Amino acid sequence: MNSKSLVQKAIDDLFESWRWRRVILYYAYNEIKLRYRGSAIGPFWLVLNTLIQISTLSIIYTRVFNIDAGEYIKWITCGIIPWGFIAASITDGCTLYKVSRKIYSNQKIPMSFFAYKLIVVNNIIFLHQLPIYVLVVLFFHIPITLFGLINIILGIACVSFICLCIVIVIGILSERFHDIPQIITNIMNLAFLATPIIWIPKLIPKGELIAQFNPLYYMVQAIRAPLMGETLSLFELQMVIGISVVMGIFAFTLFTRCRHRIVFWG
Amino acid sequence: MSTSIKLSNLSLDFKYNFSDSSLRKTLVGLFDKNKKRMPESKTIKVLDDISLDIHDGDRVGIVGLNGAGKTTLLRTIAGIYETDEGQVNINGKVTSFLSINNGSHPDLTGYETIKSQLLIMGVPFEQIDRLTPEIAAFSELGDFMNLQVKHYSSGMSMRLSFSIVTSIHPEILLMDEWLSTGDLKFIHKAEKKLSALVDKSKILLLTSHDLELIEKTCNKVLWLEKGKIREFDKTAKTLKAYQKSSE
Repeated sequence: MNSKSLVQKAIDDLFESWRWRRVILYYAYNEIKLRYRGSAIGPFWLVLNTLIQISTLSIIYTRVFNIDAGEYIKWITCGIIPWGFIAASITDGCTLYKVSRKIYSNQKIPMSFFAYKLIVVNNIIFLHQLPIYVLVVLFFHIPITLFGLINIILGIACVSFICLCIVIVIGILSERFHDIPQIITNIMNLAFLATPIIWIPKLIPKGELIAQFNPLYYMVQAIRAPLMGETLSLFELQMVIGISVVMGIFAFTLFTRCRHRIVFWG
Repeated sequence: MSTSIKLSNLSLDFKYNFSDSSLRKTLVGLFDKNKKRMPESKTIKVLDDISLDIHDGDRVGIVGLNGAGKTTLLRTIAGIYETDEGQVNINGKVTSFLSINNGSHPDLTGYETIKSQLLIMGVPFEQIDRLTPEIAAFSELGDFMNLQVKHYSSGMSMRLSFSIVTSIHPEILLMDEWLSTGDLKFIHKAEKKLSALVDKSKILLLTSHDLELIEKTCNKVLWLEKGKIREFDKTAKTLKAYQKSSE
């Protein structure tokens, strides 16, 4: 047990969750079910919330940017759904090891279990939103090709990976430093406005330049571009891969060093 | 391979001045070249040089004052706490019942709690449908099983938890202060079930302040004092010495 290096134990932990995959799915499904237990329309709230957001923002910002409603609805729908995924992962990451403390302090379980579960939850929520996207595709004639579908899936897979890394990093740091959740809440409120979700970079002066410096932009773009029937530019693709590699290394290093200590914190 | 637990020179430290090592101080420390302002971590030894051999058939009761390291020892054997000092070698599947409140969601119904608890304990999906009726029957909760657990009294929650965890047959069973809660009517039935469970498990480690329970259940007693082994011997002998010391 002690003969294994910390790196080996971290790798074991990450892969051991594979044996728990059905339990992870069950827990993820349960979590969503519980969120909406007792509400009349249940998880349909997810769809309704997004619909309300899209329509309200569209009414205002088609006038702000003075563009065609169809164009804007396409843009906001394809952007706000991936944003929901990313933002939820980051905010929920703050409580990752707080809410599950009772579980991992009472029995041996891979510490990556909870991170995977969170990503599965957010993927299910993402899938729940897809009907809205399908409506937009039908109404506003977004060209859907096989290549486009593959790109969408790759985009989701890539963002899921980055979010998994973020969740692990934020989960660990939040448990160690209780200031982190406050900082994250603050940042995320601003990030929604700072990231091109409701505004379109090419429509405002220096908009594309501002977007360039925002890593969240590339994560959103990885899903938004294929959803809109477009492909990522080479630069955007490089950035997405770059972020994945950097976050992967950072998350793995932190996980290796802290995995066994989390249970002592809190 | 037969079931066994072997600990050699196991030690475990707790760091305890986290409030001192805040984010601000850590950041300041990172940029402080002299490392003078880096928060020092103070430690306390919770387990101190523990060496133990426990074999198939051993029923070990762990006694000691509060803070002696009883629960910590169980958590270390369960693999929840990892330590760099010393070796832990375990043959067999460890099941730990350390807390009655094991993180189940209060909005789940009794039946859902059974499923989610069994799953997190590592019970395969296939066995769950088979175990559920037994658990429901043993808990005697009847129609309450369809009610959300948040409406249960603490006694009812305890019954449910107890029925769930005792439904599986572990090889190595670690129990921390079980049976010290629960109503009298249930406790007799629970004791019976527990002794059947203990009989089926190959190794039992049990912490308790209830010396009678230990005397009844265990053939060996481990007496911990300030993280060290004070005595590890046959039940009667160790308990006598322990009782004498606390008089």
